[in-house]
Amino acid sequence: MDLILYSISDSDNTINKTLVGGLTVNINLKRGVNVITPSIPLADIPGIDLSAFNYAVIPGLGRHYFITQVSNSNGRVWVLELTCDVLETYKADILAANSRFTRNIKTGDYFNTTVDMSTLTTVQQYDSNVTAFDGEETIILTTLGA
Amino acid sequence: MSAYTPSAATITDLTNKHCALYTPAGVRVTTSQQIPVGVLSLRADAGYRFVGTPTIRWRYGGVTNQTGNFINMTANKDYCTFNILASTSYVYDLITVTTEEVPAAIPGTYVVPASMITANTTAHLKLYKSGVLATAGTTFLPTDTFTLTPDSGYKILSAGFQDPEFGGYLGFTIAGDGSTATFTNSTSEEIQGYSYSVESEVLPVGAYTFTQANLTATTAAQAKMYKGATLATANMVFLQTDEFKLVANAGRLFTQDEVYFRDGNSGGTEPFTVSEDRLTATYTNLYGALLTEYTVATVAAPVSQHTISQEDLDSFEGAHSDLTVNGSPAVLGTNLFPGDVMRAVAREGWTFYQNPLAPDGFVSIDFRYDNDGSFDYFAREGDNYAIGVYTVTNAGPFGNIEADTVATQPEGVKGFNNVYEVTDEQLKLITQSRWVSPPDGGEQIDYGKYILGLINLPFLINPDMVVTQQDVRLGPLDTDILANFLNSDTIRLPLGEIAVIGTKGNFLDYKDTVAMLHLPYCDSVALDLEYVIDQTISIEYLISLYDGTAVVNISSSKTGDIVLTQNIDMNITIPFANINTYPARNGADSVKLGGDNGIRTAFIELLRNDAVLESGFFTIPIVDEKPLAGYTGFARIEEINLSSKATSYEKDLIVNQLNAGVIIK
Repeated sequence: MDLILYSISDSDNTINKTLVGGLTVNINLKRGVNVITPSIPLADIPGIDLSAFNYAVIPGLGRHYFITQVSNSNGRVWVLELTCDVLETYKADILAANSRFTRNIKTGDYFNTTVDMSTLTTVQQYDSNVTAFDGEETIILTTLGA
Repeated sequence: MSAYTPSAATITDLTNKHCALYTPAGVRVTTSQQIPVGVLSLRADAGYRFVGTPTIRWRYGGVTNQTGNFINMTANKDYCTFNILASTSYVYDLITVTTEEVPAAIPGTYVVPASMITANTTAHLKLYKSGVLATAGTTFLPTDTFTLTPDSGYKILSAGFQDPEFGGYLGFTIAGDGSTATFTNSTSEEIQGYSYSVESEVLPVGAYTFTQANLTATTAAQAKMYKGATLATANMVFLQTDEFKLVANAGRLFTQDEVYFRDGNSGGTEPFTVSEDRLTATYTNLYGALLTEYTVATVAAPVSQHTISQEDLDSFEGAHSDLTVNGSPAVLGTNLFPGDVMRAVAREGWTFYQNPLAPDGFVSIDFRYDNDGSFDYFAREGDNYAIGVYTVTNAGPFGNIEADTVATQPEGVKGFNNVYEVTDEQLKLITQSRWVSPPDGGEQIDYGKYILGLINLPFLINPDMVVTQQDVRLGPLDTDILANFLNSDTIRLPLGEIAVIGTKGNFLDYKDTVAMLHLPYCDSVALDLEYVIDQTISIEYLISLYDGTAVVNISSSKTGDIVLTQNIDMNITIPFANINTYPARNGADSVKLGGDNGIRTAFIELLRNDAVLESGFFTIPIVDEKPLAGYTGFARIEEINLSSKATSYEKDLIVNQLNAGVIIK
């Protein structure tokens, strides 16, 4: 079973994380392993610093994992403590699911909602396209009689 | 029973005058005696004759000095009679008589015998002496000329005297056409006993002899007759093909049906054809009528009362009107005669001025008679002030015609009010003209009471408002001051459009935002944002030219209609001395007092408190409901219909994390 190790910089609550690296290691899972939080012992790989990886994918389990802890058990064996990244593992289901959520403002949003407002006021001026009062004058006389 | 007893003095007087009375029985009265009733004769002695007509005087009842003529005077004037009436009321006395010696006979003298008249009549001829029809007894001296003329339709063939003893014949001179025959006994031959013979013949059918009588009638009718180009003379014969041509004398005109021949066959008339100008009348006997009675008459040609002058035409042109005479356009030189109808029509947009000095029902198209200087006016046609009509009379010649029109009362001006655009200079003149001294020298009349308003608009009006230049009128007073006459008492002044485009394109354009509309001569007004944001605001002033008040209508493209109306007083009136008719305002409660606030162009101000973190990554004020696919950024999912093969535990994890907020890249 393959274990692919990655290095990520995204926060945990990110969906569509950017996976960097990709070191595939063949592993044998022990019987009774918890697929949500498995511990994966790995023999030391010369030239590879396993502590540099913080994310893993086990395609055979169909899951993405955070590497929560890397510990050395006997000098040549490293144990990787994994926790399932459910957001990335099930992102297709999540993104496809109908949901009610709050999000950023975008053009066309005319909800009457609350945002933090400044006390400063800005003024925008829109001028008419006609200047009727042009500074000239006309005297008008009105009289009675045919 | 009455009788006449001439006095002895009367008898003596008659004797001295070589005459005497004779009783009805024919006895000469030589002494005073009663003469019985009957025909009394007065006879001249041999060698004497009466001069004039003897008279006899009588008294009848109480009336004295009644006279009567002796009658039945003989041709040689030596015998006459008087009938003494059988009435006791008549008392005859004085006889007045004058006699003379009968002059010695002139050799060659001829006294027309009755037989000569009979011969002429039989031959359809007439004898004249010096133009006078001769009768039996007419004396022709050797110097007199016998003139024979034929009746119409005849010509003279021969006429003359013949000596019965020696057979000598003295013939008349016959004109070539047989129209006259003349004879003068220039040799003084004693022709009295000669036989007279005359011969004539009928002229061809249709011929006519223009007689002396015809000539006299023509002359009396102030006309002349021509045969062709030849002036007709007495007894000129017109053949059937000859044209009779009458020419009226100057100042006279023929009248159709008053110039004609009578047709002796049918009894009808053969009328002359009167020319259009009525100066000539012609006739040709085309059908061979038997021309008998000839009638000719003329009437005085009408006198032109006025000749259309260039001043007349200029006046009508200047008054935007057209003049016709008897239905045809009046042209320079057109003479106006009594009966001619002048009709003036004002062009579209104009009416004739209703001159207050003219009688009711008349319009201001007038002229003055030359004789007394009085005015006369064209009559208004019905109620149409655009049409004036005048039928020329024979009241006398008149001078130039002056027309005066005013522009038709514009539909945009209420009542009978007038609206003028005036200059400062014109205003000064009007101010001077408003005071008029009456002719009788009384107190000055202030026509300023007819001034309704005077305002100073702070802009130039559209030239299309000017109908024309017209005299400023203050009621009945025409000031003779030309000013622009306007077609409306309200000016619709568009102040343009203001397009407001939201800068955010979302609710932030509305959040904590106020829209203020700033207008010239008006307080600023706040507008609901719904009518402003992403809309176009239109502003229009409806300015009353009477007092400068205005209705400001503000429209929005949101509704396509007016969304706000303001009543303002622009405070642009100019004071003038007329308290009475100064128009009342709509009321202080509904009109805001304005004034020049320095604004020349309307504008809208949007005053807005800006959102501080409107673009903050974690500023997520917008609630949405849909699949997250396609969204990027931070979102906090409140509810999700998650369909997944994840374990329940995993789903809980998912929901918890979504509730806490996720970043979707």
